Amino acid sequence: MSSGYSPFYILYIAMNIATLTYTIGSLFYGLPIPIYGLKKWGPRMMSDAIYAAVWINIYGVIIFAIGQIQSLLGVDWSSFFSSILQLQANMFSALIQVKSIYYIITTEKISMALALLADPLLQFSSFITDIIFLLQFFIDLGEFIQQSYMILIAIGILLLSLPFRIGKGIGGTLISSAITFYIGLPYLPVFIQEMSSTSLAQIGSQLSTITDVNTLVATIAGIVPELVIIFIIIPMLYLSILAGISLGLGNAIGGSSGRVPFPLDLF
Amino acid sequence: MADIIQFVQNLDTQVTEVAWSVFILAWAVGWALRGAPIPIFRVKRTGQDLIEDAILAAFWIALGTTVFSLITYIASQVGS
Repeated sequence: MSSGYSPFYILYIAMNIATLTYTIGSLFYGLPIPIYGLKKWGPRMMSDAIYAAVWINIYGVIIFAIGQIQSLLGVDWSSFFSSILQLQANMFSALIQVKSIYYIITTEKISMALALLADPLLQFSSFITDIIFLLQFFIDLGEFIQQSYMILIAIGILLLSLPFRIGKGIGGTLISSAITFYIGLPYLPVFIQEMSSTSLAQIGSQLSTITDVNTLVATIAGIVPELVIIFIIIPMLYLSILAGISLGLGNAIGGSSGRVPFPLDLF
Repeated sequence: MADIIQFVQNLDTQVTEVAWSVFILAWAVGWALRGAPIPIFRVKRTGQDLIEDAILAAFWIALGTTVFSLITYIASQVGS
């Protein structure tokens, strides 16, 4: 990481800008123009600057506290990545098995009845590919949050400190979403585990039983709803809970509504 | 990257100078209105308000710039 983009350097800039905001606020306070709409910006900007300065000075406490809360939940990033990578590996092996059965069916020209299986098999394999991409999205999101949560919070504080409340909404949402996702996203595998009736290991073993054509149709028919619930509905539910919490926290921090800066409307 | 800090700090100094000048101006305008030989109460009241605001502004400029420059100094020891 270059020295120009360390979070503490951004906080240093933010402190300078907060001083500027405070000075502009006091300038407006003493303005000899008796227009209330103009003069009310004085005390408002002064308190905004003090608020931003408080955030700059409790930055270290926040970073420490969110690490503590995350460990209180009993999760960490390495367990998150290993669980998701394990799921992805299960899905890859299932994909390979389904594809190999598909090639056997299509190349050996066994019978017409078996050839009818080719279409559902292709659809099922593309569904598994979808799930693999979704898991990859969780991994990418996790890597992004884990690597840049400190800088995201610092940039949020920098936006909070800008004069005339330019970046208050988006700054508050940036801070709140970095905090919420850093604490909450590693809990996703545990949440999936808790919410789903069948365990993930069970699904993996069910997928690995696809070795011959006899069990193929039954397994696919039984497993698709479970896959939809476990890999699409439950993670979407969890991410929308996290997004809702970070929007609420962002309102509390920034004082106005904002948007979550991650592409969660992907689904 | 240091030029951003330099820029903001220069801006900061200039705005502080302007703020002190505006305080003196508001003080003068306020007393001029308050002491004006015009028997209109609203004008005199505006002058009184301007003086009060100017005094408060001067107090907060003095206090704020001191506290903020102290914290900025501490932040500069951590950030640079």
